[in-house]
Amino acid sequence: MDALIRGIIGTAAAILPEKAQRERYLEQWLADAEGAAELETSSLSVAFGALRAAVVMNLTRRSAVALGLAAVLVIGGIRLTMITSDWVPGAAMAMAGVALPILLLIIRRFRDRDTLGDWEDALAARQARLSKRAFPDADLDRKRLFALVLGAVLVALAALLLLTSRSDDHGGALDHVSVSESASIQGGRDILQPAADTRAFAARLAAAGVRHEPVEIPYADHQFDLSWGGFASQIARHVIEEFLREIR
Amino acid sequence: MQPLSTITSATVDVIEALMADLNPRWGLEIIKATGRAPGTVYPILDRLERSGWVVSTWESDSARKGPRRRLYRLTGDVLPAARRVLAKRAPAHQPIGQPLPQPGV
Repeated sequence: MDALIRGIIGTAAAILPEKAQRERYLEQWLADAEGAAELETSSLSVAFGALRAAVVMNLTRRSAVALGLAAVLVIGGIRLTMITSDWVPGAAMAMAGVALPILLLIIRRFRDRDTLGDWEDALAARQARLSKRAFPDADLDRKRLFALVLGAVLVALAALLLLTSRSDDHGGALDHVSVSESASIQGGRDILQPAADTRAFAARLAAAGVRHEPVEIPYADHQFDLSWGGFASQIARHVIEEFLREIR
Repeated sequence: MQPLSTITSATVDVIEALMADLNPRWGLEIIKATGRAPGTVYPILDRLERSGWVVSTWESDSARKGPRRRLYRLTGDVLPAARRVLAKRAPAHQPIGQPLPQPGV
């Protein structure tokens, strides 16, 4: 049998939640793939069927909540990368969305359930074990610990990406846009874009080592340049012309 | 036996395939008989087994070479319920017996 088919079936069986189930379906699906030619069926379709079945067999009514949340995270993350200049938070969000179902699958894989069925069954089985004062063995504890550590690593990675993005905010857009020279023309009485903000921006440009030429027209309001022949427009045109001539 | 919460057309196909031969049958044979994809039929067989509608055993035929196969069969006590499931779907497969009225009649 093809190594690819064996690998797909092995993966499918490995994600099943119960040990007995894993052993049984591994043997069953391998035998089905082996004999598929007898029924004029492709062994690859059996392998992919096994993979799909394993995913479906992991789905429960409670999975819908997690999958819904994962979908929101992925779609929201992609959207965030599209509408913001900084792609990192969106990418981290989308990654968390992809990681969530995988993480749940891993945790579910190592739950060692006594019953086949839903989470309620697993809970009932756990309660029954607790009432019998039965303690899980060390091997099981190690597997659970591994799943938890893996989950924590993924969460830490997402958090790290988000933190990196936050620290970038100190530099703001200047860290992501290559600016060597700039000019700004600000209306001193602008009611929508406060002059103080533009002054602060100019200060940050200076701190970042960007050559900047700020021009503030003391009594100009927002969109002063709509009056094309006005004094403010004439000043702006002159400043822009000089700036462009200098940097050319 | 537990009642099935949802019975899809694929589930009915699987029950129909199992009803066609009540002897233990290889899972892949059932898949072939339904004409559906393995990824659809495997979870249905699993659900039927968990609900007590189907029992599965390992093949004990040592004459055939190769790995042992998993065989499925319907349990005896679900046969009336299985017949009811098939009967419910039957009208959809039957052609309309009476001629349709002519327009304007």
